[in-house]
Amino acid sequence: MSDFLDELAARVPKERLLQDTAQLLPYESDGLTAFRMRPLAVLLAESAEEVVEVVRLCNVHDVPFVARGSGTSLSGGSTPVEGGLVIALNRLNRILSLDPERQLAVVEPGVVNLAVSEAAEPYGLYYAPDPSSQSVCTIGGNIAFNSGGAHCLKYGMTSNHVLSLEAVLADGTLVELGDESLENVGPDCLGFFVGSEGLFGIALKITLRLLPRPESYLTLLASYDSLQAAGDAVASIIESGLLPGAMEIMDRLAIEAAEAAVAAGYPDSAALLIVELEGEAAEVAEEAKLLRRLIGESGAGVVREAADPEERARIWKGRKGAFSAVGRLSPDYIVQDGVVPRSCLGEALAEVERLGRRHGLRVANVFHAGDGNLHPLILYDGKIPGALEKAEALAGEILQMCLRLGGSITGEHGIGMEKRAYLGDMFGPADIEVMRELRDVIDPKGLSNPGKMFPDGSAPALTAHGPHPLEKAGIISRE
Amino acid sequence: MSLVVSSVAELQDGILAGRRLLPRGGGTKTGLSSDLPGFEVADLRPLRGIVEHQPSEFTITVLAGTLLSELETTLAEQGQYLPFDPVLVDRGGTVGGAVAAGIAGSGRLRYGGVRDFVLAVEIVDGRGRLVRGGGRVVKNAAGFDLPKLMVGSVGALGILTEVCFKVFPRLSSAMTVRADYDSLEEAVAALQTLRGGPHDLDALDLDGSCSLWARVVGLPASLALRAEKVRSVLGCAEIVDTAVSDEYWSTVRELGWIEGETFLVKVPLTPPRIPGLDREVAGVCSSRYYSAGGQQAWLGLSSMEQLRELDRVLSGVGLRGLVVLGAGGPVLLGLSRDRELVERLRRTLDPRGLFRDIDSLAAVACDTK
Repeated sequence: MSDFLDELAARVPKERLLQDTAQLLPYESDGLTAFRMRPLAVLLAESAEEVVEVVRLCNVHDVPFVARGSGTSLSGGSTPVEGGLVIALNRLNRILSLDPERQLAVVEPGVVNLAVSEAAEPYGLYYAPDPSSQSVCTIGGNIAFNSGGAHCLKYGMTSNHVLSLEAVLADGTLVELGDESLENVGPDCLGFFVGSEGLFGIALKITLRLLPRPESYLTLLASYDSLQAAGDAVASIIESGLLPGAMEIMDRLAIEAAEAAVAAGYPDSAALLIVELEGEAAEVAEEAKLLRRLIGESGAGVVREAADPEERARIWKGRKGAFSAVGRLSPDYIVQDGVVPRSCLGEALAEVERLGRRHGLRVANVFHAGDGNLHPLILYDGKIPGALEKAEALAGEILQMCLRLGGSITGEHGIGMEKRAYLGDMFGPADIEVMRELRDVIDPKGLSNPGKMFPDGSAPALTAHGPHPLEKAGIISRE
Repeated sequence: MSLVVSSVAELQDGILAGRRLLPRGGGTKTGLSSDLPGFEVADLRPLRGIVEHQPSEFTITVLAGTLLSELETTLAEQGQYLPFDPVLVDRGGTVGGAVAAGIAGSGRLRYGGVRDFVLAVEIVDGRGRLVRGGGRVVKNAAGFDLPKLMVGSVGALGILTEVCFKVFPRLSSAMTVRADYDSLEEAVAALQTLRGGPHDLDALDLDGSCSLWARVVGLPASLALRAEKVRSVLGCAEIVDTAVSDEYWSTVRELGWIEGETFLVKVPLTPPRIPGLDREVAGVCSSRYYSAGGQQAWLGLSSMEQLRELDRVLSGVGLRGLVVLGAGGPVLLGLSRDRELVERLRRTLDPRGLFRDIDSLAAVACDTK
């Protein structure tokens, strides 16, 4: 091991190779603070070439490595590995080119999600995937976990917006997947790489697709006296043939917390529905008529439309900051991420409520209703012995419910560390065996982000450490 | 000899018995499913039917041999459609063929291609295992994205037995605007102007006579206004009579304009590359069509010699091609950047080499030079 560190130290300046306990501390966990592990060292990489060289060195010495951006993973996807190296990619944060004509941007993995849209803005373009942590999370992490966001309903997740990438595979091989076109021929290896949770390697140069900004938005708020009623409204909108850009629901606990945090102007109610239409002005105007009729028939209480871009921004700020806001109500919480068929939303929410009562735990709900993606937020106090285990048990029961209703154990956070035990509930033995074989052929030594996704990986013990400091400050949020 | 597949178990048995199989559905994509020396055809047409359709979920799961036309009819009854706009539907194309070929039509412009709408797959791999990937819900991030890997895999990594699609509501009103240009450069410039604007177009194609065809789909009340906006942006353009546009789009979808040629090749690209590529291949490809907002070229050729020449041109300009129609040639043309990775995946999913080998197909292209 010391050979490895010696060789590494000979290649990179001391100030970029962190080895002291105090320096390593911030890297011990990510957005899933319940898992902690002190890495052997952290390399603050400064170039793609350096990352390739270090991955190859790791292979020579059989040292496991974990790539890390801003560490916002909610599934523990960037939790360090014992005796392993953390390759921090935040300094690879250049937007290498932005081509309005081809509607694409070429970026390094450490570029922050929102920075892409900001750079594209002068050209009337934007980068569509918008995870709630978009002001902090990086494109590299988005690719590893195929991140979603509130606006996936119409235009899909990260995978649908990546045109090509250059990556170093786990064994040090360089690959180039995809090209500038939205179309492809041959097996879609690019699509296969995205969402592989860092188990295949590290993306180093990424070409993203940019979209023209919609000409018009209509953002509507509607309050309901039950979650069930809000869920039914979503079902009726989907069945009407409307295809909104986003449909989100928040429950009372989340509404109150968001109000207290950002004064989004949400009505006081048991459930709140946000629907956003986007597109050509003439089309949005027509769709709005249909939407208003459906909302009128849905038993909504207060109905309000954003009058200007500022009000729209406020509505979304409240929604995207809801989880960190709820965190103020409790010293600790677990964010669950599951998917149910959309027609089962009402049933699922009632079941979450029942399960919460049975466990004696408060659960707040903020979720992407349009695609059935639930995010129950389980509140607990880690200082009370057994409370974390109880919250984990409830989280597990919610996932089992998602599967029972025909859904998925994760919509957008990935399996990571957190849900490894449940992979076998969603897939059969042959499915998992094949996934393992595909992993092995790309990473024969099992060095790239080991212990994630597959059920039997070794894991550090579960510990209660409270929310991430950035989360406490309201800078990042779990969603 | 062929293996008629009426159940997944029959397919598994065939593979376990070591039979080398070339999957075929409707056989419409002759470049991908014509008889291959050393292979038996696995005829998947009997493996058909809707497994699950939940209209309110906007998902549908079907067996691989299901006719695209049957799938579309089932969806249309609920006001739904496949947004990637499959081709060769009336000619008898099947679901498995559409996904394995990874070919989308002009309508992929609006919401995405095949890869963007496949939620889950079941395949039989080269070891005879029935393997499932993805999930039957519209959003899912669990496990490796096997569904995407199978899109465009042309029978080299496994044989598709079942596919779950995400579908969208279909608004039936459509209007088409056509503008004629003197040069391809002018037409591409107009295409780029439209792509950069707020127009939510359903299709935007450029035909071989430098005419731009823009299709607008949406609610009836705003349709005329939206189409008129497109027309005014394009200048000397006209709104096409419905009967004419219906026939036009139907011909495009069935690749009907290619009748005269032997081979048809799909080449992914971006609009700014169109004029350059068009010049390069003008002497080789007698017909050329640019669809889906200029993201894919359809190139028609008449002889194997021209196909070899096209392979050379594509390699030279760093593009790839898929020979969709025309038996006896290679499957992939041009530059292959991901060959090593594909080869590794193939070794894993098909260790005995029972399926067609993508590398050797690329080699065919080299050998025939």
